[in-house]
Amino acid sequence: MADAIPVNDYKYGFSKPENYVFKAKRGLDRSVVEQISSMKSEPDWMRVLRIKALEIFGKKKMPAWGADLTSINFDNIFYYIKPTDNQKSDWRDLPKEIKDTYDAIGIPEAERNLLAGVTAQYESEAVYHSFQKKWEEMGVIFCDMDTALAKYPDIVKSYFGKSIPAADNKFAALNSAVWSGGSFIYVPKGVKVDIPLQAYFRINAANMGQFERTLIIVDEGAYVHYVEGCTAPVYSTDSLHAAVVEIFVKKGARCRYTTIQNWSNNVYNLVTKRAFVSEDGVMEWVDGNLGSKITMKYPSCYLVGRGARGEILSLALAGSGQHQDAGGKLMFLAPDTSGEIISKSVSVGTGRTSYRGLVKIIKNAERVKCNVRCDALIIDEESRSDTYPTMEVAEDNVQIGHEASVSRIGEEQLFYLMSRGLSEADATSLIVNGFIEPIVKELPLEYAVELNRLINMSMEGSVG
Amino acid sequence: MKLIVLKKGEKKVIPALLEDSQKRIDVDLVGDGAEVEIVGLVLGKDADDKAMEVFITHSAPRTKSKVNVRAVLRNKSTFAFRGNVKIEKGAKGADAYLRSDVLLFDEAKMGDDTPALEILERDVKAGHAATVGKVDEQMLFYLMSRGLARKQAEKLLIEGFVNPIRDKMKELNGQD
Repeated sequence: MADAIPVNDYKYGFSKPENYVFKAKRGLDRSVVEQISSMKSEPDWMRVLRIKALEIFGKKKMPAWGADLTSINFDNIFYYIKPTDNQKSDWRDLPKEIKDTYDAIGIPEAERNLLAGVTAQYESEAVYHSFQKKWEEMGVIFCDMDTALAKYPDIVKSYFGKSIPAADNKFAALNSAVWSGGSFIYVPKGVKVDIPLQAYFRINAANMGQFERTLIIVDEGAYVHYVEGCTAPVYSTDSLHAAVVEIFVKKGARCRYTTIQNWSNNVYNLVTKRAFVSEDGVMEWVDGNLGSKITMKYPSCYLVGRGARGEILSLALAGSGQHQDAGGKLMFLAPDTSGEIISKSVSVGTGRTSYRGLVKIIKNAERVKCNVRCDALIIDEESRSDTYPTMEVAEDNVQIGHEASVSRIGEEQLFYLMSRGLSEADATSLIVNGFIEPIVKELPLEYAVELNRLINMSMEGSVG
Repeated sequence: MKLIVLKKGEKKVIPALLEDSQKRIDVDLVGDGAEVEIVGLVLGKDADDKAMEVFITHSAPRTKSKVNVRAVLRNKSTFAFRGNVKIEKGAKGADAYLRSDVLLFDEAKMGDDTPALEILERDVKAGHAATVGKVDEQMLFYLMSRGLARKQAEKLLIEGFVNPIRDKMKELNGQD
């Protein structure tokens, strides 16, 4: 880790004292799960669901493919930490340590300027929430998942785990057993929420496990853009983030989900994200992975209705000591569906990026059009890049294309820029920024700026 | 399955006409400038269930590999293609290209098409591409507008798709 993106350049790497209301014991067993459920005063069906999921977690094997997860020690993790006694709706009411954290990340300011609603999750719970009245009056629901379970138990029950059941994979099972926090969004028919809703996830404690659970339902003809950002302090020991995100895009609706994952380099980030898209609906994942030690995340679109469309834009930046195993899945389950995956990855220092993707087309999903494009840039001697695309096609009347390229920065490109007076590091940054531009331009402005800053930072000292 | 090892400056073209149901080709490019080209042709019919696996390792500088597999699948045939090109650290100036194109008809299926790349060296050129689908509708339309029946036009396009590979194979057989 010594030659990682220098720790003092990761500006979110600070930690704050723990003045918590409750911290569960280390490790995971039935009593921890029961404790979480009873502290949340949940309905019995949720308690039962958690216990069942815990059993599944115990039985499921670790994935035999992908990144190296052998050093995760499940017994050393804190599965539930409640930082405050209740949720605040004014930044000033938050405990000082937490308020200072969000000030440093710049959230209160962003909220005032750009957002329709904000949730801030600190450790296991949402500590802050605000939502503009205007949208509330139009019937839009935006709250944390625990509040949703208490206030709208019927909606939650009918969608929870319906696209990602606990048995889907080991980390989905773990999340289902110990989930806490996350966002719940419901957008009623025809309502277009034209400015983003945003959530900020922060891990503060060492060896913390954060397991937020997000559920988004976009009803017929509606639109929503949800943005999430994640940061954590730098510790010498590892933390775990295993989220589950379920999205339901109804007929003619559109949902865009933007992630800027910037965990510190000691976080395992193992996330399952899936959207079910109905007739003529559109799902767009914009997935930026910059931080974490290891990420395994493949946002997916299950195109279940005729004419549904799925788009996945994936951006991965792996610095020294990092492995970004990211990509996406498109499942074409109805005729006239279409989709696109665009992946751009950059590996720097000893960093490793792996694109892993699946395109599956079932019989009778006629006239499917699908295009996959993944490009990788290898910056340094020690960097590594892999591409593992899989296609399964059981219908003949389709058009499927896949293209990939792996390259280094061209000497001629560098030479040209340097002959114009740029330093090698500046020239490299410029080329990398140009390479990822198609994805960066889809990001909200403040993130795009931040991303460019990060790229410039990680190029310094890596070249030359 | 036997491992093909290519030493310094060696060049080899390997035809892979998938008559059997399974084929695995392993090539190690261990010498400076070694080159391999694999041309594969798969014609699936009835309930054929075919699979081809290609593993190429570049472990020396300036090595080159090119894989070009084309398949025409009819009836209830299935084909799986797994290509894996690995460029080891130190194989500077390596150049790898992996390509599969598949035409599907009837109830045919592309079972699993995974052209994977693993690259541990920065000074390389590597790419892959894959397509799956029917014959191009626009080309069909063009030929039909010139007076060809649909069947004829389709046949012509399939020949155009298969012939470059077939010619290459003939050429190779002539050499032997």
